[in-house]
Amino acid sequence: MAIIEIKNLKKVFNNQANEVVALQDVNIEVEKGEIFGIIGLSGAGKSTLVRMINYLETPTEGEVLFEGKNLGELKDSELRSVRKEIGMIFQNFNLLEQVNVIKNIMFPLEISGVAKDKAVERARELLKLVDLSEKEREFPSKLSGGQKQRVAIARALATNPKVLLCDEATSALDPKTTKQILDLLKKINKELGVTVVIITHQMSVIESICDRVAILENSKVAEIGNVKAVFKAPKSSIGKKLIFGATINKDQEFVKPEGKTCIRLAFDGSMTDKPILANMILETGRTVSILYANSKLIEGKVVGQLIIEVPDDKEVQEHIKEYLEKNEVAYWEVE
Amino acid sequence: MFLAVDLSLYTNAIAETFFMTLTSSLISYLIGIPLGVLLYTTAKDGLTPNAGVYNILSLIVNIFRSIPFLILLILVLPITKAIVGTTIGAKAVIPPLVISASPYIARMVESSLKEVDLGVIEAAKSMGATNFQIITKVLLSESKPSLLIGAAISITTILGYSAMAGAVGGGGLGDVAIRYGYYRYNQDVMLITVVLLVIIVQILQEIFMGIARKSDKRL
Repeated sequence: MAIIEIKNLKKVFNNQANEVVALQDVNIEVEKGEIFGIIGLSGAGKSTLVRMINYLETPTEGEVLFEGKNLGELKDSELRSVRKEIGMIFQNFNLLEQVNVIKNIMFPLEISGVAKDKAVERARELLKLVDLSEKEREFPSKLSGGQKQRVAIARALATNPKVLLCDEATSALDPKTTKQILDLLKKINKELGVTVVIITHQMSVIESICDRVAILENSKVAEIGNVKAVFKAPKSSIGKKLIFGATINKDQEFVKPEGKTCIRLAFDGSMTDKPILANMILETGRTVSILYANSKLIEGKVVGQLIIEVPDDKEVQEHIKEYLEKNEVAYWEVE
Repeated sequence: MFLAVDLSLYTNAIAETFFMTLTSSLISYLIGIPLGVLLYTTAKDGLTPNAGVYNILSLIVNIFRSIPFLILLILVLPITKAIVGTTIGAKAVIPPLVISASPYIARMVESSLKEVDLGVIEAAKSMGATNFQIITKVLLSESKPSLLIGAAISITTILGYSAMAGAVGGGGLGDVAIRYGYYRYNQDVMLITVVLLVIIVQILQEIFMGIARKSDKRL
C-alpha cells in the first residue's frame, strides 16, 4: 500500500482580486521505502504540493492520505501526531538560531514530552548518524550550510518518522555539499527505511537519488514514472526540456547544423555493453557522424544520449530508424 | 551653593525612582508580553489570525498610547486611589505608569516577535508543535535578544515618565527637580537631578544592551 496518496488535489490561492490556481488534478502515490522526486520550474506549485502532504497547507479540493488516514478528517491533535511521523527539511534549514545544535535536535522530542536524558541520548545517536558529533555545543550561526542541513536532517529524524519531506533541501548548497547531503538522504532511506519525498528544480538531484519522479508544469502533473524510464524517454514537453535541456545546456549549447538531419539516441543502462552504433554502421553500410555525446552513471549503469548526423537519403534514414527500433533504442529526430 | 539640600534627599529620590521604574516595568511586562503575543498571534499572518480580536486590541492599545502621560496620570487618579489607597508618593505613580507602559510594551513585544523567521515557525509546525509550544519555545526564545533591546528602550522610557510624575507629587528624582529646582528656583538641584537621571538612563540602557548582545547566539 502506498504510504502517501494524493487524490485529485487542487489548491487555489485567493489574491486580492483574482484567484490563482496553484495546483490541480494532482494524483500521486508514494510507495513505502522509495525516494520520490517532484520536479518543476519555479512557480510550478511544488512547494505548495509538499506542504499539503503534512497539511501545512490545506487543499482546496481533494484528499491527502497518510497510511490510509485522510488528513483532512483528522482533529488538530491527531494531525499533530501524524506530523511527528513526517519529518521535513527546508531550503533555508530553519534551525532555531538561539539554541545550540543538540538542543535543536532535541526540540521535536521536547515538544513530544520525551524525558530529557532520553532526548539527549537520541540526539547524540542522530549526531553520529549525520557525522556531526563534535559540533554538539555549537550554535547554528557557526556552521556551514551543509552542516546546518545535517542538523536539520537529524532534527527531522528525531521522532523516528516514516517519511522525510525535503523542500529544495540542496538548493542553497554548492555541488559538492549537495552530493554529500544527497548521499546522506540515500543512506537514511536505505538503512532506516525512511520514505523520502524530494522537491527540487535540479534535474541532477532527481537523477542521482530518486526512484520515481513526478514532473510538474502549469499546476499539473505533466509526467510521472520510474526515473530511469523518464530519463530515457521523457514523454511530456517539459520532461524533454528538463532532461535534455539540462544535460545539453550544462556542457554546451547544441545547435543543429542548418539543413542536416540529426537523430538523438537515448540509452538506458541495459544496452551499453552492446556496440549499438558500430553495429548500426555495419548493418546499414552507411556512416554517421557523432555531433554530441553525454553519458553518466546512474545506479552503476551507464545512461546517456548521443546526437548523430545521418545522411540525407530518406531510405537510409528509414533503415537506421528500423535498426534502432529493432534494438529498442529510444530516438527522436532533433528539431 | 552646590549642596543646598541634604544628600539624603538625592539618595531617597534615587531609591524612589528605581522603585517606581522597576516595579512598574515588571508589572507592565507581565501585562505587555501576553498582550503582545495576543496581538502577534491574532494578526493577519499570525498563528491564529482573528481580525476581530486583533482590531479591538489594536484600537485599545492605540488609544492608551495616544493619551499624554501627564493627562493619564490625572485621569486615572480614582483608579490609583482604589488600587494603592493613595494618590501621593512613589506608590501612587505605579498604576498610571503601568497603564501607560503596558500597551507600549505590547507593541514592542509584537514587533520583536514579528522578527522571528517564519520558516522556523513552519519547521516547528511540521514537527507537530502546538501553538502554545510555538509561542513559548520558538517565538519568545528566538526573539530574546530583540525583546531585551525592547526592554532597554521601554524601561528608560518608563523612567522618563516616572520623573514626570513629580508634577503631581509622585516622588523620585522628578519630584525633587520640580519641588526644589523649579518651585524654589534652585538651579543647582535641578542640574544635579537631571545629571543623575541621565546617568541612571545610561546605566540601565548599557546593562540591557549588554545582556541583549551577550544572549544573541547569532553573533
